[in-house]
Amino acid sequence: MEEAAVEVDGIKKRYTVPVPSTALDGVSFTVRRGEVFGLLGENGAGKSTLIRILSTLLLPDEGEAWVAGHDVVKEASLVRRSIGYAGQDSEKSAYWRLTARQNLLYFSVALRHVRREEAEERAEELAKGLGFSKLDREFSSLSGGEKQMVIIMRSLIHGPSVVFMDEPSKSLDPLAARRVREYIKRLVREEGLTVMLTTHNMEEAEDLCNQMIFLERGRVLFVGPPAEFKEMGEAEVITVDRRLDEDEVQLLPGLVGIRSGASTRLFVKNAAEALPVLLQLPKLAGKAVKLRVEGPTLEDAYFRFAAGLRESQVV
Amino acid sequence: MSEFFRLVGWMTWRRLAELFRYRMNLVWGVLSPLMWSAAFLLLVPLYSTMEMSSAIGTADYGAYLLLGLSMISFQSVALWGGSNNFNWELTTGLIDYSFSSPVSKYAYVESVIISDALVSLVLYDAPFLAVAFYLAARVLSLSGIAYGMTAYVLSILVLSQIGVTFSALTLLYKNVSNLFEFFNMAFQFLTGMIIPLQVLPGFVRVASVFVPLTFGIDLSRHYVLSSSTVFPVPLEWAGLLLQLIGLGLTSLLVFGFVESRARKNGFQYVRVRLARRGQAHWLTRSPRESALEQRDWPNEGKHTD
Repeated sequence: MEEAAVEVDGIKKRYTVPVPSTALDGVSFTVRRGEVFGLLGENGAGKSTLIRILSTLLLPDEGEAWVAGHDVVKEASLVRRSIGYAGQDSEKSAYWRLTARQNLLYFSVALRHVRREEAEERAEELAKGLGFSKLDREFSSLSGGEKQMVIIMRSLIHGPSVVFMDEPSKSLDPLAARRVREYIKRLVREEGLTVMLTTHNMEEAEDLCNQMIFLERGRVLFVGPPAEFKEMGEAEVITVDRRLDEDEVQLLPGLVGIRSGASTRLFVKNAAEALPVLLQLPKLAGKAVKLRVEGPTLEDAYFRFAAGLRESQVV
Repeated sequence: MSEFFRLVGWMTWRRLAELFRYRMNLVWGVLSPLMWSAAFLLLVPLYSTMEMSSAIGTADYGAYLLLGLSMISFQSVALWGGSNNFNWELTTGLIDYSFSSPVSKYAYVESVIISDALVSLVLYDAPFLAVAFYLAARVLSLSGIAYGMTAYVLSILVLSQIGVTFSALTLLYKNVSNLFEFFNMAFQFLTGMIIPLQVLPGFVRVASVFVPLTFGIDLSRHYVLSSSTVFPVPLEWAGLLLQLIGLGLTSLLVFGFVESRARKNGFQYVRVRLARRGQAHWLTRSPRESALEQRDWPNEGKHTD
């Protein structure tokens, strides 16, 4: 337990209204201090419920969980002193008629027991670290991404030891998202911060997370490093510059999956074996076709994983 | 206690920062009560009749009325400040942030109400009170003001306890604004806020005992203006204190219940279920509304009853 920043043991949560459903079904895992831990899964998998339980906003039906060494049920107030929180509706959740700086000051001093001078210093420091230059602009006048940046700063300003972020990169442009990721990595490295985040952004998960968990209908289907998750994609990927349907490629040797769009990604056990057959398909034979062969990405693994859960080999 | 004062201080700071950002609105907000209170000075003699004087025990009917009227805005913020705040927090999602903070949630909602009342007192109600004191200058004493304001502040505290309960109701039922109309009328007519209870029928005076604020308004008028009281003074003090204790305990219990329920079900699904004709009904939403809510809050908890 000493190294664990978050310990979850057999957490169950069930809802019955409007339709009975199981949100979490015996979830267990450990997050070590100084780790960035990603929660992945499709909508409704139970990620937000889990974050809410760990943030003391919801009570579990069964099981136990500790955050920063404190029981989330019996020692909720101690947990609340240790955590930062950036929830799902975050970019609306500040005072629109105050500036970004005033918001940060108000939330940290009034609700998080930070001294005013410390809060002012910390706001400057965070803004500098995240490359945010609009501290004195009214919150309402900020763009969606800038608002989200303020909310991320709000979750960090009081120096929590564990931070929960529900889709932190939502609304951020790629550059801002990268700055946030770099800053979080720095805090993790230099201050030993532990971050638990939900995300649908595979690039973010791959870049940021030391460990990740894949949830489906409240069950843990995978816990481990992103690289290991990626390997679960195991196949090679052939990208074809046009749309191919499932029935057109079913005879491809070693085919384990397909993602069709404007282009098609074919997951095969061995690309060298599959390519000659692929090029003989009626849609491709004798035509100029652009092909690319590569290893699986985390996103591929995610799609394969999610599709596998739907009892199909075809993603 | 220091947490409570810190919350009140910072919430007041926030309210003022928001108000001072929009100068035109602020200036108009301050000018408006100044103009109305000045107009009142001119109109008061018309209302101060002998009949009224003998009924309320003072000739300063203008001041008498102003002390009651100034309570209207306090009534509004005390009853609805917390409720409006939670309504907004539920809409924006801020409630998750505030409820994951280490401050007491009861202190939090009480601070919302008190800070609103303070801002209202300083910016909007001070002119009415100043005119009331001016009109009552003849009979005004420091001890009278001290006792009168004590009763006044206690009334606001009593009201804020109802405000905490209404805030809890907002968490349960999401939209309780129509309750406001009912209580608004009851508070304005049954407390003697506008029309003195002394000139109303006996049954209204009996009903007024059950409405918080009656004793507070009556006592503050009595001490500031030396007016007669509807009930014996010791009885009114006892009633005021009992209301504070009773409603305080009720609001603590109700808010604690709702808070624990919120932790069980999630804020969007904190509701109570009533059995009606052997069948359970959700009080707040039709199936269609529930479905729409599921769409809007896809990852939110669902009810567990």
